[in-house]
Formats: sequence, structure tokens, C-alpha cells
Amino acid sequence: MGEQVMEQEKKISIFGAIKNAVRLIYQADKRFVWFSIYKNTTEGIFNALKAIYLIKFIYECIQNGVDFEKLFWMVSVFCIIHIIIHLTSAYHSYCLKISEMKVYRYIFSGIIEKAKKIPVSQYENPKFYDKFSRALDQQMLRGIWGMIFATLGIGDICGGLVAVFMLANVDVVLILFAILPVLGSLYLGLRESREEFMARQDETFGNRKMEYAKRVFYEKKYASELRLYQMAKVMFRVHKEGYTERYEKNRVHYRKIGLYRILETMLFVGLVTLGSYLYIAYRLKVAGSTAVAAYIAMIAAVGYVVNSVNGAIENFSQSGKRCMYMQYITEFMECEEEKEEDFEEKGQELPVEKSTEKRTDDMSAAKAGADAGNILPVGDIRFESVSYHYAGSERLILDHLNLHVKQGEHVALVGENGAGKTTFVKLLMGLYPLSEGKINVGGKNIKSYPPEAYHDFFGTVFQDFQIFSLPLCENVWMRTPESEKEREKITEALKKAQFAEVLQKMPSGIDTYLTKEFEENGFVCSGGEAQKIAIARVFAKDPEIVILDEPSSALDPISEYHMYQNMMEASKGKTVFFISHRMSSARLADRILFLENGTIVEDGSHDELMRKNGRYAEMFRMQAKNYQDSH
Amino acid sequence: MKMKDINKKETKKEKISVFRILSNYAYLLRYAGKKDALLIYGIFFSFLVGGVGYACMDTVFLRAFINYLSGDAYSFRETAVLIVTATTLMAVLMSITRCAESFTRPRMIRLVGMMQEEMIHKVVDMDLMYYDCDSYYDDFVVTASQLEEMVEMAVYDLGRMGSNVMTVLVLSGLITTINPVIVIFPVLGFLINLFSRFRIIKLEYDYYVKRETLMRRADYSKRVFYQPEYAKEIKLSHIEIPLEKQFHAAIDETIEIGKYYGVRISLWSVVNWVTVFTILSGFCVPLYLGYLALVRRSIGLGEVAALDNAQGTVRNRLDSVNYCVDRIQRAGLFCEKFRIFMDYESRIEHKRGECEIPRQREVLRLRDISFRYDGAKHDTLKHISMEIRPGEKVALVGENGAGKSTLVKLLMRLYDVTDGSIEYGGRDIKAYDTDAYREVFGSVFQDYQIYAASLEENVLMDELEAVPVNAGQETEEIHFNDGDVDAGKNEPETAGQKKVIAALCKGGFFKRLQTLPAGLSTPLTREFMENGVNLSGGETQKVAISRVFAKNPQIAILDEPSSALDPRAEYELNHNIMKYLSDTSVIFISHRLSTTKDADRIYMFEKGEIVEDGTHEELMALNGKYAEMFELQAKYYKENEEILLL
Repeated sequence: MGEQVMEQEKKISIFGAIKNAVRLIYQADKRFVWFSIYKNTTEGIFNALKAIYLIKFIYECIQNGVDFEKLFWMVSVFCIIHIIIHLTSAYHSYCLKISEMKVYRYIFSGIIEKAKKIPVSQYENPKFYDKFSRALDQQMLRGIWGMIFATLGIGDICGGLVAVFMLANVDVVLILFAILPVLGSLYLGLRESREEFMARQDETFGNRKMEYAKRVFYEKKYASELRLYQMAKVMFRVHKEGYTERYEKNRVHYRKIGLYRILETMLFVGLVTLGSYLYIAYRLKVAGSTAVAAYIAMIAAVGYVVNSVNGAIENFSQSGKRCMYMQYITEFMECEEEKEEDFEEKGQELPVEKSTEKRTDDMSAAKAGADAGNILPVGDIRFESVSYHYAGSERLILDHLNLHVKQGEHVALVGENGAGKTTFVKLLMGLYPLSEGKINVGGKNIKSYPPEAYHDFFGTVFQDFQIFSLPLCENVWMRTPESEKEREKITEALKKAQFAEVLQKMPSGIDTYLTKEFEENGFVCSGGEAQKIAIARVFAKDPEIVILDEPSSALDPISEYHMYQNMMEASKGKTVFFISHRMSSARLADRILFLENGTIVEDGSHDELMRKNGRYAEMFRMQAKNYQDSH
Repeated sequence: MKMKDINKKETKKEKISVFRILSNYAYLLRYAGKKDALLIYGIFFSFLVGGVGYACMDTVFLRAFINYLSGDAYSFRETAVLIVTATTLMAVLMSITRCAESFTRPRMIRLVGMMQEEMIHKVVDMDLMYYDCDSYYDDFVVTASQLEEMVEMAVYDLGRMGSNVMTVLVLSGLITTINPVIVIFPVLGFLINLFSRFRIIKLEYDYYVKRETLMRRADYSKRVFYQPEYAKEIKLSHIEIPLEKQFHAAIDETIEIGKYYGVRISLWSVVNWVTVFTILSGFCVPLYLGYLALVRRSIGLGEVAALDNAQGTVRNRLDSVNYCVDRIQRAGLFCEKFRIFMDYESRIEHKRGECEIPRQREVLRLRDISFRYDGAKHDTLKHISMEIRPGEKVALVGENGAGKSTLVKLLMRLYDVTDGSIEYGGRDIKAYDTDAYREVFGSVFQDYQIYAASLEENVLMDELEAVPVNAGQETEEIHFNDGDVDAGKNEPETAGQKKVIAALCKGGFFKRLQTLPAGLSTPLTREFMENGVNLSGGETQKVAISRVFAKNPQIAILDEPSSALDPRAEYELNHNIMKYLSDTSVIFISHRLSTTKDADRIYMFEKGEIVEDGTHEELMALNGKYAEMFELQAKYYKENEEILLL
């Protein structure tokens, strides 16, 4: 794992990352980038002048015993410029607070745009998670600091150049004493930051172990099991392995870093201090120069050049560190496009215009498109030799599946765990790209629909539905209700989903905020309540095709009964697919598909399949046995 | 320490005295010192030495050098000797500090790791009720996540502080020997800085706190768009619209706050910079030195250079001291939490009891127990009495939220009852060692978890070495549910492995085990192993169930053990439970009444109370709640009857 990540990382040089990040920020807030460059270069140049030119001036005044007044004016001029510099700097820190938000907003819009386009299968790929989700979880604002550090580095270089120029003015030979350590620092500094980068990379694995173990101990969901079993011991071991590994890996790298630093110090003291002092002593004592003040001031200048370069290196490496994180964001926004291309382009071939305004517009546009091409209703679904396997895996989850479902049919998908039921519905909804075959919905290949409009055909409750930290009404409507009518619809949907009783107890009705994430008195749902909200979404959306993936697993029998009753009633005339492990619910369907190893092995109504006495009948009886014996 | 005490302390957080902060700080350092004293002393030493080195470089040495050069009193040779001696000394002193940070870093990582290790040990020792406490997350998760940063800060900053103080002392000595007046400027600058910085820090802190709250909202909206679990909903709905709205509202507000605080912070910064850096350091000092040298003619060029550098360095170092004090304060505040946490004593976990736990199976009896969660307004359980005899199969049924899951947690002493008592073998369970008492139980919790460890460990739920390998014990034959499969690569090597394989078979996992690349040692989850296996919902549940079979406890508690299983797997599981846990007392919680029908006794729960109890036949005859629920479920399973379709 560690190695792989490293390989990917190596492809981007630090400067490449800085370039990308600065470009991103430039797109978000041009003025702030220019302002940062201006502020940091003027500051760099002024500081160099103040540290070298002014000091040289003061020393010369004292050596030559000039008028105090002359000194006074020079110092005053510098102080006035200094105040202007301070004002600029303060204004910059003010602007930063606003610019940070602008940049964040810009990145956020990019993420959303992208997230809508990336296929779901991509999200479920563990590499995607490793690479992006972890990175995107990081502070978004590192990039702006990366840019600031980069401009600080530029300022340092400017300051260094000023210092070199002044050295040349006094004695060209002195530049030698600055150039050599600078070259040394450059070389060692690069080695050092590379080493540091490798240390970071090498310890990610150990770090992850530590973080994971910590999480296991702090999260409540693990607490009971840890107390009943001895699993804590294993987790202690994982944690210890984590930090021991980090220690070992870091030790190797930091030994080298330490050596580089000693070398750097030696180079600095040896050449800058020892060399230049000896040279100056020689010039003044042996060669007979009398410019003591100028030469003394130049000692500071030699140091200034070296420090500027070191500062620039440090600033660029700080910048690089921050921009590396941004790299993932840039990648997230760019590289995924290819995989989507296929899907996108075909969508655009369609005469249907992609409307982004309102869902209803979208729907009617798509419907119009569908109607124009074919008279078949949307609920008419045809699978033609559909296969699916996960990327990099040979095993077919769905194996050349053929199926025709007519508008208004209620279809139950039944089968053992892993038979391909969930994959079936995900393919139908266009969440996964097909490996083979095609699916026609309303007589048209699903690839020919604009994805957004296509997704609008469906109302779905997933096994792993999510509750959002938003008001209840938005959690049901999945957008902001805009009229009283819409709000009524939401209440109605919640009632149908058996949520009425809970709703009455809620302080602000459907405006009650869910989860305690942001609101102290937010409402925290139990598993059953959350499921009811998820079901209410389908009622509220009133979609063309309803898909229920084990919607009742967290409900008690009474709630389950009512839920199905309402659901079936509300979706009369609509095509419904549902997956349930409770055979009693499957029985409610017009048609039952029994899946095994990615194919349909039995297909028919409950009665037909019971008569057939095959796999379905066996499974049904197995579950029914206990209920039937009692009478 | 009780939770309430901690809560009280928390609210007082703002008022922690300086003394307490210092004492906390010392506590943290002592704690670190106990783990790796050499590291701590090493860091302090190198920083102190470095402080002296830097102090001398641009002042004492520079002054001597200028004086050597200025007059004709010294020859080139003498000057060269001075230069060589001084630079050698500098090089040594500076190298020590330069490399100290690199050499100590890995040891620091280990030190923090060791401290964290003690912390997580402490976490498992905490009573479960702690997790229900709201401030728990805020406090202790933060403590854990900041430990690394804080320990580093505490140690390095004290070193830096020592180094700075050292430099200031050396230079003040130098300045005083030449002209004491010069000291006034950096000290005055330091005081002004201290005052204005205090204001700025306060403003920045307020800004930060407000901004964090808003940013959490923005971050949440952002997170939804790349976390895999949300991906499907994002695709299929328009939930991005309200999320976007929430995001933009948060950003707008943050900008407003940024403007408000930005103006104030910038103004104070300008006041600070102009007075300290421009007026005092940039204007007064050079002019005063110029006045002394040019008008009064009391000092020479060497003194001017040395004094100018010295006062600049003193000011910088005092600044750093100021900065360090701020950070030390933060570390001290942080440590308050760390300290309370480390001093915490549990009431349930690892409690020693006065009695030995009985070896044979015993009766578990609940005498009129009630339970209320800390801070809750109502009892979750009210006056529950029941008796579970060895080998008995008991079912707890009822609607969501009726208190069933809470009850089983009480049985395992994860919480203590509020009223009444639980007895095992005729004694109150508080009389036993908590650890020994819990050994009696094997359990599948409703929210069972898979751990990032090998499959074998996930079933044993223990370190592998810790399992005694007594081959004689496990004599029963392994029954492979899937017919004549070849054990192949899963040929058990140790008695422990044999036990695990047997348990996995009983849990219905054997077929999947066959497909796992590394058999029992397959790492689970991709948490940190690239080749880790992520199990599906049903598979996960099967592993969780296997744990109970592997532990072979005296009392098994199964909370909705088949919720994620398909009908066949559920059927087989029920079969296996009856077959292999025949001597074990089993407590089931289930919604599916078919699975609980054969229980020796069924308890129907409603709102924390037992409303009906008896065998299935008795309850059906009673024709109450249970019968209603059962009929409702059974209805659709009656093969030959017409269903009244809705």
C-alpha cells in the first residue's frame, strides 16, 4: 500500500503541485494572488534594503563621523516606508480572511459538479476512497497558504538579489562567500525536503493503524463489544505496531535529515562566517583597505543572501506540502472526466436539452424526449443480455440476464445474499456502467438519457440510506420546499410512511433540524425512524419507478405491514422493484424473480412458483414453517 | 471520578488558575519524562546550548572582531586566530540545536505513541455509560487527537523558552556592560507587544471559534459529495440544492465575521508593528546609538554594531518567549482534560469482586429492576423481573425502542441497574469480578462490528497467542453445511484454528471461507490493508454469530442475529443454535416471531415493561399483543389461503 501511494505521489513534482494549486486559486480569486505577490516582493526588497543598505549607511556615518542630522533623515525615510509596508501587510491579512472563503466556495462548486458526474461504481472503488475521500476530508484552505508561502519564497529571492547587488557594489569577491553556501543549501535543502517527504509517505501506513485503533476505542459502536470480548488486546497490538513502525521509518529518514542539517551548518559557518571574516580581515589588515564600516555591513549582507535562499527553500517546501494536498483536489476535478466521457457524450447526442432549472422541467423534457422517440411508457423495462463484473474482478455478479418488465408490474427480487439483487437495481438506475448488454427503459437505451433526467424516474430506498443534517422537510423532499403545497405533500408523505406519531412530538414540525451535528436541539432518529423518513422520500417524490432495497429491515412487524400496505397502494400502476428477505413481503408482488449466481432461475407469480415447487417454494416454506406449525 | 464532577470541571474550564495550568504542564512533562527521560533532557540541553551560541554570534564576537579590525593594535594573525576560535565554537553550538530537532523527532513519535497507548487502555477501562455523556466526545476525542501535537508543543516549547531566556540573559549582560539604557527599548517593545498581542490573540480566538462552528456546517455539506455512502442519493435526488444553500449561507456568514474581526485584528497589528518595530526598534535605537557615537562620542563602531544587533535579538527573543507562554498555556489547558481522563476511576470496569464466579451454569435472576440512562427523564426499563435457568431459551420481543437491547446490556453489566438487582448463582452480580462475570456471556450485539484484523481474530475476538491450545477439548466434529467441500488450505493447524473453523461453519460462513485467499488469516476491511476483504452485510453478521459459537459461553445473547440473513441462512442458523447451543442459556431478541416461537419462554416488551410472558402456546391462547403481532406476520405465509390484498 505504502509503496503504491508513493509511486503515485512521485509523479508530481513539488513545483508542479504548486503550479496547479496557484492556478486553482488564481481562478478563484485573481486579485488576491496579485496582491500577495505585490505585498511579499515589496516586503522582501524593503527588508533587504533596511538590513543592509541602512546598516551600511549608519556604520559609515559613524566611522566617518558625519553630521547627526544626515543620519536622522535617512532613518526617518526608512521608518516612513516601513509604516507603509505595515499597512499593506495588515490589509493583506484582512483580505486573506475573505479570500479563503472565496477559494473554498470555488472548490466546493467544483466538487459538486464533479460528484454529480462520477459513476457510483467509482465511489465504491477502495482506491478512490483512499485517494480522494481522505484527501478531500482535509482542510480545503491549505492551498491558499500554499500560494502565500510561494509568494513569500519569491519575496525572499528578491531580497537575496538586492543583497547580492549590494555585495557586488562593495567587493565582488564577497559574492563568492555567499554563492557557495547557497549552492550547498540548495542541494542539501532539496535532499532534506525529499527525505522529509519520504518519511511522511513511509509512515502513512503506521499512521493509519494508529488512527484506526484510536477510533475503535473512541466510537461508541465498538464500546460494548470491546468490553465483552478481548478484542481490545488485538487493537492494542495494532496501535503499538502503528507507532513502532512510524518510529522505525522516521528514524532512518531523520538520521539523514540531521546529518544534512549539520553539514548545512558547517557550510554556513565555515564559508559565510569563517571565510568572509578572514577575507575581510585580510582586506583591511593586509591589503590596506580602510572601508571598515562597509565591509562589516557586508558580513550581514553575506548572511542575508544565504538566509534568503534558505528562507525561500523553506517557504517553497512549506508551500509544496500544502499544495500536495490540493493536488488531490485538482486530480479529483480533472482525471475522472475520462471515465465519464463515454456516458456523457452519448447523453449529449440526444436531442433532449439538459435543463438544470427545475426537476419538473427536467422530467417533462426527458419524458418529451422519450415520447418523441417511442410510445412505450417509462415503466417498461427490458434487460438484454446484461452482465456486470467489478473492475479488476473476473466474477460475473450478473450473468447475461434477460428480462422484460411491463409498466405497472410489481416485481420482487428474491434470492440468497450475494445473488446479485442489489447490483440488479443499481444497474437499472444507471449507477453502474454495464459490462455487457443493454437496458432499455421506455423503449430507449438508458445510456441515451441525460443522467440527471434519467435518475429522476426513480424513487428509491436503499439498504444504506442516509439521513442528512438538514431540516426534516428537506430530508424528505430532497430539496427546499418552495410552496405551501409542497409542504403539505411532505407531511402527507411522512404520514404514509408511519411517521405521523413522531412528527407530532417534534418541536418545529417538518422544519425540525435532524441530527445534532449543528443544532443543539436537533432531532436524532432511531434506526426505524430514519427508515421511515427514507420511505417518505419515495412517497413525496412520486416517481415513475419505485425501487425498495430491503426497506423494512429495521422496522418492527407492525410498522412493516403498514409500510408495505401504503407503498403498494401509492404505487398502483407504477413499476415497482423490491428486494426483501421476508418472503411474506415478496408475496405481495405480481411477479417474483428468484436470482441465483447472477441469473434468474425462477420467474412467475407466487402461486405459479409455489406450484413449480422449485427454489422459491423451498425458501418460502423454510421461512413459513415456523408460522404454520402453530395451527 | 464521577462523570458529574467532570462536567462541573468542564464548565469551569475558563477559570482555571495559572497555578493549575502550570501544575498541569508539569504533570504532562513528568508523564512524558517517565516514558523517555533521555529524550526530554536531551531536547532541553540542546536548546539551552544553542541559545548561548546564537546569542554570541552577532554580538560579542562581532564586537570583538570590529575592535580587532578598527585599530592597528592587532595584527592579521591575531585577528585570524580570533576568527577561527570563535567560528569553531559557533559551529559546534549551532549544529547541536540544528540537528536536535531531527534526531529527536522519531523518538518523539514513539513517546507520543506510548502515551496514547496508555490513554486507549484507559478508555477501555471506562464504564460504558460514559459514552452516553455528551461531553465525552467533545472532550476526550479531542484530547486523543491533540495529544501528539500537545506533547510536542509542551516539550519543544519549553526547550525554546529556555533557549530564549538564555539568549536574553547573555545579551542583557553584554548590553549592561556597555550602556544599560539600550535595554529599555527592547523591554518596552516587549511590553507593548505583550499587551497588543493579548488583544489580538483574544480577537483571533473569538474569530476562530465562530468560524469553526460555521465551517463545520460548510465542511459537512462538502463531505456529502465525495463520501461513498452518499454517492447514490446524490445521483438520484436533488439534495445537493439544500446542501449547497447551507454551504453558501455558512460561507457568507464566515465572510461577514471575517470582515468584522479582520478590521480589528489588522488595526491592532498595525499599532503593534508600528510602535514596536518601526518607532522603537527602527527609529529610536539607531538614532540613540548614532547620538552616542556621533554627538557624545562615547562608543565606537564595534559597540554600535553589537548593541544594535543585541537589542534586536533581545526583542525577538522576548517575542518568542511571549509566544511560548501562549503555547504553554494552551498545553496546560489541554492537559486539564488529559489529567482528568488519566485519573478517572471506573465503577464497573475491572472491578474486583469478593466472590469467585461459579464454574457450573447457574440461574440468572432479575429482581424488579429499573433503569434510567444518565440525564434521561424517564426510565427505559421499569420493574422487570425474570429468571433464566441454565439451558433455557428465552425470547424478548416487542416494538422498536421497547427497551430490549438495554436490558441485555444490563445483564452483561455494561451498565448497572438503577433499581432492583440482577443475581447470578444466587448472588448479586456486583459481588463478582466484572471481567470474570462477563466471561459467562457470548453476545451478538445489534450493531456488531468487524475489526481491521485477521478473520481468525475477528472470530476469537482475542489475541491468537493468548488462546490456550488444549487439543483435547475440541472433540466435536466439524459439520460442513455445504456438503462435501474440501477443507483444503483451511486445514486447521492449531486447536485454536480448529475451534474457529468449527465456529464459522456453525455460523454459516464456511462457504465464503473457502473463497478467501488466505483462509483464516485473511485480513478484514481495507482500513489499512490493501488486500483486506470487505464483507457484505450478511457475511458480517455470520462472522459476528460465529463469535458466540467460538466462545461457547454459558449464556448467549443474540440481539436480532438474523436481520441481514437470507431465509435459508436464517433457517440454518436457527437450526445450528438449537443444535450446538443446547446446553447454553440463550436470550434472543427478534422481530421475526417465527424465530422466537420455539423459545421456552417469551417476554413481550412494551415501553420498558413486560406486558405478556409465557410460551408461544400460552401467549397465543391469551390472544393479546403477541398473538396479534404473530398473526400479522404469519398471515402471508399461509400457503393455501387467499391473501386479502390491501
